[in-house]
Amino acid sequence: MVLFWSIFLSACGSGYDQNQSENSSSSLFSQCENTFIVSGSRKIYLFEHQSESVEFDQLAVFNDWAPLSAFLDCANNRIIAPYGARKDNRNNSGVMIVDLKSGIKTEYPLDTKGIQGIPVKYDNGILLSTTLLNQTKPSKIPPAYGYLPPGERYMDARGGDYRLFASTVFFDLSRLQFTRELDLDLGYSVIQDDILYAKQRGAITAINLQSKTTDVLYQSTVNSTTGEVKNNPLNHLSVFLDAEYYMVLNRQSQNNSRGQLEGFEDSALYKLEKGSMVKVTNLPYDDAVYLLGLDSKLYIFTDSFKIIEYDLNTKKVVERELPYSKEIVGYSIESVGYTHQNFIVALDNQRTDISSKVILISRDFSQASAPQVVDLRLISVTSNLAIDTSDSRGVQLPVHQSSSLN
Amino acid sequence: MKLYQFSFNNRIYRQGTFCAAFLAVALIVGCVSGRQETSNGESFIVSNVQNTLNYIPQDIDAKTSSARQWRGGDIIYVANGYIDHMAMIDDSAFVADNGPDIIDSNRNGVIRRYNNFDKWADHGGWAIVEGYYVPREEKTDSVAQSTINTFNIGDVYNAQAEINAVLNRYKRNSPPNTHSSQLVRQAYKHLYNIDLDVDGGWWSWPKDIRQNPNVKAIPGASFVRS
Repeated sequence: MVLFWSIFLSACGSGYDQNQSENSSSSLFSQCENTFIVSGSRKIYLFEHQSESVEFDQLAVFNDWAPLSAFLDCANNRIIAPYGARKDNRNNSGVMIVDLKSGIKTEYPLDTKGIQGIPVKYDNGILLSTTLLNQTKPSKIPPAYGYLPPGERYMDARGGDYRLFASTVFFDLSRLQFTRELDLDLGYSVIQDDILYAKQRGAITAINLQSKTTDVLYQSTVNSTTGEVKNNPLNHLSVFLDAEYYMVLNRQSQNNSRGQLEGFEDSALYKLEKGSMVKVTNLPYDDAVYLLGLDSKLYIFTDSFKIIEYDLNTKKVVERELPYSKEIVGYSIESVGYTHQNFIVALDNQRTDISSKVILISRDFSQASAPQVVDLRLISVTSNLAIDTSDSRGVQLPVHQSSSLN
Repeated sequence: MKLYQFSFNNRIYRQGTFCAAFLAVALIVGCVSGRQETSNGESFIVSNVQNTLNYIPQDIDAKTSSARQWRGGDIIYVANGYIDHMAMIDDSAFVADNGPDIIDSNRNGVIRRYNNFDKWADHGGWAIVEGYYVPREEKTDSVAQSTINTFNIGDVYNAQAEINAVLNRYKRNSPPNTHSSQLVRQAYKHLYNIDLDVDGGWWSWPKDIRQNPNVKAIPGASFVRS
């Protein structure tokens, strides 16, 4: 075991791929818009694809314990890697910066507060969700953004009410330090035109970060007689696209205590309109596992390796088959990112002794790259266009019998 | 680099034309069967789906004969070969959320909420994951059952406040790896008036709770992570 850790620590210390030495005097990459990072448990890979092509090269690989959606800061030639833990102190978390010129890794810890979720770029820094629960008395300290999520009000032993939330922190990438803590409890969120569209503990909100005002776009049903929130969990895929919220339900979606789905259809696309989820269309498959939105189109990836493209303008649905679908039995779609030219599909295998794969598919679906093996689990894909693309990994399906372990 | 040649036919659908596909899919929907293994004298099912809590076990709940899902108050026991740890499920995710949260106490006795089980387990380096539940209906009389609490994080937070108050009063320090299981034990006392500690001692280690015969394994919710 000592030998194992020695080897591991040595690997962590060196960290930098041999490519670094060949490129140490300049940027590793040629064009920022063609770069992408694939990261997850234990490693961070930096890739670049060729222009107008799905062919891509590995530029660098770093060992790391638990990066959260690491991304490339092209202008400053560095990788930003929020992390949730370090092996020697698993309560540790923070932001790590990898200087690509020198290969030096510098950590900026956030003590034991814990970091989770997908970082959101904002004002030359990043917003990060935390895990530690904070308590405030609503009557004394109302949320700065004027919204108290339903069901987040509790009573202590003395009868006083309070609110629990895991705050959001801001890491300033210019000053290289955590500078602000917001009493926002964010899930999946995006920023568009200075508005933070977010899942916020039972609601979908639009938060104006300048005026500190919050519009509640959607929230769970409230029992009008008692004021209590109806406990109504619903597994679904979701994406914000052009300030609109879309969700897809699959056969695992349920929202009652009997494991059934009430009020929704399980093979359908919904859109949030005027406070309600409105069905947009039925879908030909009930095993959707990933939802992506860009350029007025939604792309739904299924567990059976179909890609369903829904054009929000023409309402047309086009179904395609994922490349190599016959050869990748046993894999599951873990994450999907994109550049201007290509989709980046990360596939994980249920067998722990089989590595994950990355495939590039041109956005017009005319080409696909050969699969590239990556030594990763819990994969995130980031590019210059998007840090990760959704929280869709919250919904996963059982492995089909045909891909069972043997 | 050898490139893949696309050879699929793009099929165009319009809304309302999927009936045949729906029927086919309905026939395909199947269940995942697990492998029965025995560990420490307890029988539980090792899921084919590893590394994810969000997977809803499809095995049959012996009591309700329906698909067992994660419920508020379900207990997660994890270990990595050196230490073990314990957490609870908070299923009060509302419509906008994607799945249950993990509630635990860190080594400083502070409550955390994680919204992604996989990341939580990965950050902790937990290799062994076991899911348990307490069949509360069998342990309460009819009166208590009618007033039984539902799991909520506020009561867990209040339970932690009681732990802290007692520790402060008696100036006693907790061993760091009892914080998580102390929270589970106190939360169950607070919420359901059930003492989960197997020997009723002052400290509760994760294994003390796990060995309680009233704590039952959730079928399909135990697995080994890579």
